[in-house]
Amino acid sequence: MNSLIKKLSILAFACLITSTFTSCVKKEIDNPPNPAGVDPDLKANLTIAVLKAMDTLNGNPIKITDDFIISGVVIADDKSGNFYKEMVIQDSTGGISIQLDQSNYYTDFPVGRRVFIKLRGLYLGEYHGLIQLGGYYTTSGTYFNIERIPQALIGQHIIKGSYYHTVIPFELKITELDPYIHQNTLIRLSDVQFTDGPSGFANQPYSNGPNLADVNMVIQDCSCNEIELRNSDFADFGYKLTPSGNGILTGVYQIYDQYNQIKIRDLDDVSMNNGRCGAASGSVCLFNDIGGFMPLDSVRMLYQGVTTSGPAGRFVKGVVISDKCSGNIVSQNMVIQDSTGGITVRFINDANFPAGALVTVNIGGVEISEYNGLLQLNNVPNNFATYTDRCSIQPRITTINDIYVNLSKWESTLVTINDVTISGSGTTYNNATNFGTLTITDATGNTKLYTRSSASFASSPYPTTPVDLTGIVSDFNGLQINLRNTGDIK
Amino acid sequence: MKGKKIYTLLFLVLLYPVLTQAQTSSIIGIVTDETGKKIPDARVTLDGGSFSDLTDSTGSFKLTEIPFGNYTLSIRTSGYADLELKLGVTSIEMDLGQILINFDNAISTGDNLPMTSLMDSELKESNLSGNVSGVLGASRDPFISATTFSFSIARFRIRGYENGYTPTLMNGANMTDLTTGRDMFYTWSGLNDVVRARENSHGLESGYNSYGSLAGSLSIDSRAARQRKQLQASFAVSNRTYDNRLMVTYGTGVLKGGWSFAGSFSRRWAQEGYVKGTFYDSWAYFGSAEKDLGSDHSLCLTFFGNALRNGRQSPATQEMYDIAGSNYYNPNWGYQNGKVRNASVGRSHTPVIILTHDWKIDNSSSLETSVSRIAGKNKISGLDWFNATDPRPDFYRRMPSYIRQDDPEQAAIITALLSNSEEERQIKWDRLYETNYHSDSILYNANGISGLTVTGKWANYLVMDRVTAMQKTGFNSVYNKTVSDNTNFTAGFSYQKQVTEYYKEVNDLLGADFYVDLNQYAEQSNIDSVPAVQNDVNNPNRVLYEGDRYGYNYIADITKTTAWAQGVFKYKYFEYFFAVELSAMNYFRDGKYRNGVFINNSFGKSDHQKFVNYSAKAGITYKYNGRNYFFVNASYLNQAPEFEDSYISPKTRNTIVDGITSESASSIEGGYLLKAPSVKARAVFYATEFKDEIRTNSFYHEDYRTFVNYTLSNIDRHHTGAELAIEANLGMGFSVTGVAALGRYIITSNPNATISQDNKDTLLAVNEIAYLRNFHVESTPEKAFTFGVNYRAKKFWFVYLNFNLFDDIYIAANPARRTSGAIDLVDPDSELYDKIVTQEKVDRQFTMDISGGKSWRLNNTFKLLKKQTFVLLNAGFTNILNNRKFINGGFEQLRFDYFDKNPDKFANKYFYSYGTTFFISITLRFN
Repeated sequence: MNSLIKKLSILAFACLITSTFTSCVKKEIDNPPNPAGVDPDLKANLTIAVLKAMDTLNGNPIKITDDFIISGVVIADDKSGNFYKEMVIQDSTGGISIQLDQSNYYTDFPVGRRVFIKLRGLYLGEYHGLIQLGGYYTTSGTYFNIERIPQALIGQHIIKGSYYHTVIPFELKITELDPYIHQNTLIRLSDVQFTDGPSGFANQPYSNGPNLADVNMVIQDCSCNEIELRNSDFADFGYKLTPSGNGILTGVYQIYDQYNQIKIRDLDDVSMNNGRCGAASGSVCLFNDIGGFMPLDSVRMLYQGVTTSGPAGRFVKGVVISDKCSGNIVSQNMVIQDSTGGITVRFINDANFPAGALVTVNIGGVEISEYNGLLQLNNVPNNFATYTDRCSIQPRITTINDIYVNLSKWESTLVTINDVTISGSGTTYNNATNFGTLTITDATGNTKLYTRSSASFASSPYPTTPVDLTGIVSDFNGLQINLRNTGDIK
Repeated sequence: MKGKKIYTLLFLVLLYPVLTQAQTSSIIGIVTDETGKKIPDARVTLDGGSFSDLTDSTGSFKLTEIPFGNYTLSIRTSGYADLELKLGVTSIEMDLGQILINFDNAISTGDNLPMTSLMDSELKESNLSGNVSGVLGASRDPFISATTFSFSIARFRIRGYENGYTPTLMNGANMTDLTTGRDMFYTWSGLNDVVRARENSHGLESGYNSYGSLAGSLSIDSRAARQRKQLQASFAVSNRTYDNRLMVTYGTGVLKGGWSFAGSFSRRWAQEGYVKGTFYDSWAYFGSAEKDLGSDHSLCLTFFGNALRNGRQSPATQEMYDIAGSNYYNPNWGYQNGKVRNASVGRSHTPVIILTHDWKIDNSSSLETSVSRIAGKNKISGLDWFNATDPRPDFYRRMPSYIRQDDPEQAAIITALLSNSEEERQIKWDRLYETNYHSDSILYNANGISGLTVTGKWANYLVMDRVTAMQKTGFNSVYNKTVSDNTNFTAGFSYQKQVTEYYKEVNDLLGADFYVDLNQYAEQSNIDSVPAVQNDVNNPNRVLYEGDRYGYNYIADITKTTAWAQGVFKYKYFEYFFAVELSAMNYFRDGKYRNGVFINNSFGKSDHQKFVNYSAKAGITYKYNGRNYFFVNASYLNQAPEFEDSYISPKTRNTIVDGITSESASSIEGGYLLKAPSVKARAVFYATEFKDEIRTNSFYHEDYRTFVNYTLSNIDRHHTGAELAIEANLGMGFSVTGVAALGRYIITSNPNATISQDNKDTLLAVNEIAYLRNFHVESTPEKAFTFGVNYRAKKFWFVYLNFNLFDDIYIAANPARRTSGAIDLVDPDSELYDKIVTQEKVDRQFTMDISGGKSWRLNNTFKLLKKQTFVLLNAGFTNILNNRKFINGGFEQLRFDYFDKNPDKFANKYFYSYGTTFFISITLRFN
């Protein structure tokens, strides 16, 4: 009996002990499988273009009550911080901005991922012309604000699809951007640069750091067309400097009323390593490599006090030394120079050639005349001029006295005068007392420095200490020097 | 003024010639249990320790040279309930004959403590002081019993004190964690069988073998020779933090040659505890070997530990509880591959080794010396993320309340979504993995090596461990001398040295290849200072894999030396005592990382902080007769601020809190005790004034995109109240108890708040006034009542029924809401103003508990059993009315919406008591 109890209790005890040591509490759980980004079982039944068309421009936001689904590829996310709680998607018909209340959503919806948007319950509207999708809206004054999709509901509306799609940006010129068609799409601008000079944006930090407001920068092409580049104060690249060169800019095109804006995703979107418009490209200018070439000093000699016209079959070839972007020249005019001299070309319509362009002009039958003493190729049809290359020409270093002496040969060429003192009424290049005319004096004499009121630097103060000055030799019933831009003052 | 009078009274009493030449007596007796077994090694003491003996193998004891008078004789031994007898000693020799002691009902009630597992960060944030006060263990004092058992559901804290005012010794070794001032009860958690022998002092009483503190002192004796000779195994089922417990304990008693051995093992586990997502897995062990080296010396080596792994619970806002349909919603877990995974897992194991030497120098003096070593790690896991969305499911921006004002319709949709989808209410592990799977990245200049490039998946999300690795060495020696019949003198010296490392560690990269030790907060605000982004400028761009340290890494190095002395004087009508303590504390922070934001003050050692502190206390008891006692005790306590409160942001830098100073507490208590045969009663009144306290808390602030630290200094508090208890024996086995704790714990100063950020060296506020005067100390009931009906049958079974009422529980106040900045431009007469500044008091609560037990002696049925064999059954049911609306604590979030001034934007978080829970154990014991 005793041994039986003993055995039983030992057995019972053994069971307990066994169960104690074998009842293991939860261990590691396997990693979930990689979903590999397969598209969900959803089909888009609406294109973005059609969705955009549903927006009653300038009207109330509309609530989407049908089971519409759009599908697109993410072209902008918030990884760098330049976009904040805004995602932009694009399909083959267009793009749209989506407002969502989630920071760092790029981990879910990175650039290149296809997403499907279940539109039912969302609001479509616009913010200063930019068409947006959001969760609800508020009003402020006369404006409607499309508000972000609440965080808890994002997963109900934005369905994740496959990864690694590439959206090829539209290659467009600034002038070709259509505020409606192209908004919220990925575009690429070539041959553009940050504006430079004291109020320019080259070599500046992209933004100033958190809570210091967004920064609007100006991008220009070599034809002086401009567009804003908008950078967030929270962009992680904000402290880096913008390039000073010329090249390619990729980004999302957006609008704010009449203003055009580009927003980049990160600095991979900026590739501007070429020389600026008009800057030395390093290549030597070749002028006499065309048939019918006529040196500019020969052309100048065709004018003998009366208006004449250029011989048929003859061409001039020169570098554009004027800078139309700075506005210190009449918009139809450009000044070209070759190794023998220079001349002012006045087109029928606005001149389009950037500084530094090597341009060939057919002078057959073109009027050669003087305008208040300045020799011009006048009323040149715009299609008589063609752009071939870029190169640069060094200014002639000289004195004011020498310029007076050589005015007829050096007119419309680039000169540099050292140790020049600028004087005149007022403190700016052009104001109500000096009307744009200042006096420049060097050791040999003095002459006029003329600045048009349309020049971008017209209201900038001129230096009061001696400088080295570069400019175009010009004539308005007497010698005057014209600055190209503020880069000419050293 | 009150205090002065007391001291005057004390002085007069001192001069009063109470010395009388008394006759003395010897008292003998035999201690047995209900079965008639003679109990060896029971400690028999008279009036709390001045006369004491251990029973021998026949259960006999003898106390000699007892002056005639009235006494309380108490018998304490493990496994049995304490017994107290009132004695009038009037003859030269008194034979008490056989004294019967009962099996310990505390076996069940002790296990019946509800437990809540809280995240340390929240504890810190809310200024809660941790677990329930049930650590004191069982006692026959009805007030102490009530606070330990019936009141624990309300997280009742004695006199509203924080944990740390009951310093604890284990076999003579100091068990206090010097970084926090709290005692390390978790090291012997689960080892209930071997830690039953304990000496408690309560309140400002004289200590047993330590100076004590405001709430008393505790001394546990787990040495092998104190353990009963027995084999005991028990198995329990429950539905609280764990479901099952197996406990086996073996003691040899004293063997030939003077050796004693004892061992204990316990395993407690649950796949899921009361709260979803919480699991529990504890393995606790204990071993002790003791050698009696002759009549004068004994040496004992004890080691124990508790390896615990548990899934944790975090509090939530009422909005989330309501949406989830349960006040036990736990945001810490989520489904991974369809299985529940908890992000907040605690893993701790801190083994303790203690060598204790006991030297009975002569009949009247003894010296107990211990050397201890405590070393281990405590890890708490959590989600960490870098440039990724906050993954917490109850993040405030996910809540309907966040947009209700703007768009109620969307708010309703969110409410429906969260209510209907458990997945949406919990962590989405699969999503975290997916983002990591696609986070292909390039890291340049990896590990600070120019040109070294690492490519792969850079974790957006990871699981980190916050690790606290402590090593503590202690020496403690206590000398006791009975100078005369009336005078007992005790003195002690201790030296403690603790080095604790704090760091973060990569636990799980969640499918990614690596992580980088960068400070994402700094990156956003120190853009032109490239090193700012580095958590450790000395090791920039460090590539991290699982097991690597990162983030912060520093050491707290603390030394404390203490000397104290106490004299107890006992006379016929008066007893009094004096005690003084002198301590020196020295600590510094040693930064192991050079933080990029704090390059000049993060790496290396901080200045040493040195504090010399003194404390003193005294008390007097007037014994009107053997049944009626009146007493008054007073104490002045002065102590160094805790390490963790002394630095404005210990994680990042060495900067000390400005104007740091020692904290002090003055306390007085007085009362009346009745110890009649059928009625015991107590009425104690106390008043305590804390001065110059410092507290540091930190939390993540989204607007500043960084951690923000609040240091409150110059906190004064006033704790006053009464402790009332009565226990009446009605006969026929029935008794009733009534206990009331009535307190008022308020802040009496307007503390200074200094606010710093972890990503900038500028302070957001310097000594801004937080208008907290008359605010209440949080998360403990100021009023608690219990009424109990007990029945104890002769046939070894009992049942207890308790009715409990709790009131005046306050929620921890956010100091920021009581600054001029918070109420700027708010109309002082508006409802909003009231809402911002008023401290929340939660609802009064009523609960009922029932417990019972029975024991059987198997030898009667199974005559062949050689050893005394018992089966004990214990069952306890707590909160049998299933009250699931019981908020027992909470806190206002430290973040405040200064812009909209909406106090509900970052709503209060609450802790709820469990509904009905049970604990049923069955024990088999071979003696």
